[in-house]
Amino acid sequence: MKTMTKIISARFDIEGNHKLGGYKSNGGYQSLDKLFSMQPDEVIDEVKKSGLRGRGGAGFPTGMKWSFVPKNIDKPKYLCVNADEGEPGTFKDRMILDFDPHALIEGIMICCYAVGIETAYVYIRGEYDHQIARFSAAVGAAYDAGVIGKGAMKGRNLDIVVHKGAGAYICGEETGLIESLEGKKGQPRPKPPFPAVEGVFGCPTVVNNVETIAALPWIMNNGADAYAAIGTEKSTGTMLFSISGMVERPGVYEGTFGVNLWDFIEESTGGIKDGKKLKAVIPGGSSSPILTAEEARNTALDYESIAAAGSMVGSGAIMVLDEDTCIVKALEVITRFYAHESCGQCPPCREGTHWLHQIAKRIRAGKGRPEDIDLISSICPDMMGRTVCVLADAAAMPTASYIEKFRHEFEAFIDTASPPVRHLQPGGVNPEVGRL
Amino acid sequence: MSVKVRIDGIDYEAQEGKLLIDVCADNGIDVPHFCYHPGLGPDGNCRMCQVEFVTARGSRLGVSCKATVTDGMEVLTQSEQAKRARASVEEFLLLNHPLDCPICDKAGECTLQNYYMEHDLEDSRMDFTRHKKGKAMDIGPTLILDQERCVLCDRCVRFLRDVAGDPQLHIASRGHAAFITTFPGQEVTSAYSLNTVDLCPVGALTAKDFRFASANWFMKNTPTVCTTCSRGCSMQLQTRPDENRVVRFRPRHNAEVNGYWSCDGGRLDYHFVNENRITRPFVRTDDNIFECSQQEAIGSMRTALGLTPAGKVEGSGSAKAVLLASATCTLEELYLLKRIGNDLLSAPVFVARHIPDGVEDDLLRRADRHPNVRGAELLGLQVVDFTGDGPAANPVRDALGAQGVLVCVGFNRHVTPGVYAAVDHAARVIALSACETRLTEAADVVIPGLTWAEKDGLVVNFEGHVQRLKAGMHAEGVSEWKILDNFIASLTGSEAHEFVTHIRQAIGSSESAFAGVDLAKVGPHGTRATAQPVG
Repeated sequence: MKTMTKIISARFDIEGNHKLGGYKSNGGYQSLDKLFSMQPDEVIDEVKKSGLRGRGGAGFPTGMKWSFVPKNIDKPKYLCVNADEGEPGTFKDRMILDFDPHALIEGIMICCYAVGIETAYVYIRGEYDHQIARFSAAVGAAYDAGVIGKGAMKGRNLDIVVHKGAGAYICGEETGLIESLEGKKGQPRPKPPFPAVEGVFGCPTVVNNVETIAALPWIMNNGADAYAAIGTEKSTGTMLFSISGMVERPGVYEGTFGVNLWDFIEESTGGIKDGKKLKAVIPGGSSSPILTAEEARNTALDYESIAAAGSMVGSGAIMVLDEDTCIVKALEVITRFYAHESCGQCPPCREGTHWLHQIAKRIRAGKGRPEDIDLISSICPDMMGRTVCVLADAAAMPTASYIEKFRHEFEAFIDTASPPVRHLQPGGVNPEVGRL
Repeated sequence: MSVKVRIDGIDYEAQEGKLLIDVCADNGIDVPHFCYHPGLGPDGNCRMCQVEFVTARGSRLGVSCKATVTDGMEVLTQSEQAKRARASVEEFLLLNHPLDCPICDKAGECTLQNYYMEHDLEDSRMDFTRHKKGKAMDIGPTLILDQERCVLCDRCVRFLRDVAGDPQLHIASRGHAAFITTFPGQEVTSAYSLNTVDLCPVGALTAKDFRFASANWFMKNTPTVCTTCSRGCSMQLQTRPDENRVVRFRPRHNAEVNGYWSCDGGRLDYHFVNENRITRPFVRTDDNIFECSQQEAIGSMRTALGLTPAGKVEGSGSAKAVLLASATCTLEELYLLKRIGNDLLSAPVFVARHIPDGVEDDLLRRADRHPNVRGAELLGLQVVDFTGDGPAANPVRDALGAQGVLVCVGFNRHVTPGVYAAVDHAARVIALSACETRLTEAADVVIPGLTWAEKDGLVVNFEGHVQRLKAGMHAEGVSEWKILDNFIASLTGSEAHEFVTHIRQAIGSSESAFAGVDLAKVGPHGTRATAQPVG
């Protein structure tokens, strides 16, 4: 894209950038002099001014999150970098861990300096073996070079601990992550108290996504105003989008907020594969409500516009569905995922996700009943906003949107027991794609 | 600080920072809940206590067990939104709940059942096969687990981990497949395990002891006290009036003594009440036993002590007598014995600790397994220790002398060598006992008494807390206080007392340790004796 600004992904393609020397020669760790010349509060104000919002899914203003951490408290404070990256369709943080690990370390230093933290935990998704190795090597190199460690931050210590997750989606939820980090079963905690007040080991904790932290060095180097100038008024800066699905070149692309959603997809990925027609776009990971082709073409890519269209930017995982994609099958797949990943604390989620999946499975198997569609529609509102964390919402929101926007496909599946999409038989296996 | 909270349109005063669900309960508004328990604190997982919070930014749903009250807070517990939220939680919980209520111990006192009546009353909308999980699993010496009935409220897990300090249950797996279980190869052996049965809002955890014993609507509840150790936990005695037997014994809340809990030992220590009972007074001659009436028995008791009834002139003075009471006796019984010993017979009165010490812990259990040692001390009676294998020094035996008559009261169980040594030494033995023991086998006069389940009386726990035993069932015998009171009346010619409260009033007016304590009006939670023990 012509107007594309590269902030996070600027160094992804540079050979050897993942090593300390390479990173330094590409302008790495240059923000530190400025950082240490500022007061911690000034850093927080700077981040607030930049308008940076959390890139993990919720889009909460980062500077504000930091300012919730109590200042004068005799407990230690912690930073948890959320690298669990479990949202289906999301694969952007792995790029940072793989190709720009030192940017994350530099960002961690900025956050820790601003908030007064001496220990940062980086909770990395268990399947990311290669990324864990890469990032651990980077942390080791930073320790060896004295970038982090004892007295590294203007006399203050900074330790970075890499923690490997064990594969549960729910451990990407900030309090589930904290429980898991403490060695417990990953189950979200009721909020309040928020982690900023009571997090890891009962101490004030900042939980930020990898990408959020990795954006900090650029903000320090170029100033908050420069960052705020990019994008729209409320959605500032750029974001990494993991684009997958039926497009020519799926991958991670950095986008500036405010551009047209479909234009961005088309320009970065080359559009729909094999010249097929667009059916729908899931803009922010599997938890976000689906957008029809028309909605996707008429929506700008920023937090507010996508929210106005009835969905969310989420983790920036854009999934493109072409005309051959079966929505009924898509529903069965995502409901299976949420039923499997529900931690089981709250009845609406524990029972609701499983029930939705059972119904979706029945419809897809060609045994659906006409009343099943309304049943799904009535279960979803009972799951939303009723639980400790938002996993139930994450399951119910897309489900409700699939039914609402593609009701005719479900009806066709139930009425005639013949699928509206040519290569999918109810209950059968797609010969081209294989069983999902 | 006191704040004003508006609940369902009515303003209430509440203490700031208190949990909303507690404030509601204090004001008689019962917010449905499964996982919250005042003894365990909030967990927030069941989502049943959702209410509608009305704020300046509109209304939203939230759980009332996690919300602390603030000034000006406004909540609606019965709004359509709140009721819908709770009804949906109820529906979700019932989706896979087995329909075995007719054979479930919990039926009738099951929270899930009650809330179904309150919220839903609809047929299930789910027509898939229900989950299959473990049924009737033997998970320890006291408990049976039914995983299908479980609503995963985590109460049992939290109780064992946070209160009892025995983390022996946990939730395994996740999502709809999650279930309560023990750790591999281990059992629930906590001394407090049966509290989990009370805590369980459904019939997932049931007590082996109570399993299929009775439907709860047939049971009569009597507030009483546990007499198994010197803690004296406040308890609820549950009996079957039609069968006149104890079916369950479980704690009731008393912040002063036991909180919400009691130990398994105390709960299960009721079986002797139904066993080996003496039903008729009898007199033993050399080789024969003669059953007799109560009055005849009291007459025999008098004769054995060499006494004559009031008004009779003849007689040559009493025999050397020693009174020995068990420390399980009530305060009234001990007081009457003290009167007999001091005022009528000039006989020494001893109170025996005769039940071997148990295990003591930081939560509730006390090593001293007598409910009323402190009461004896407050009355100024001498307490002797007969818990061992027979002490070298036996003050009771020494006091008896060569021709002494021993009056034993309340030794329903545990006639230890110390007690027996005194019995053996006595020329004649008079026993007031509810159960057949070595003592009643040796006694010359036996008068049946009552166990704690059948009598009224006061006991004083180790901290000086006075609580009331209440009769939950009837028995053939007569309460010991009445026997002793009749005995006194027969000697002095005075009128026997009709009610035990008269004895309590007498204790209050004549015993300095209970001055200022209205023993006649001891409520269900008891009262604190003000004075320190004499001596």
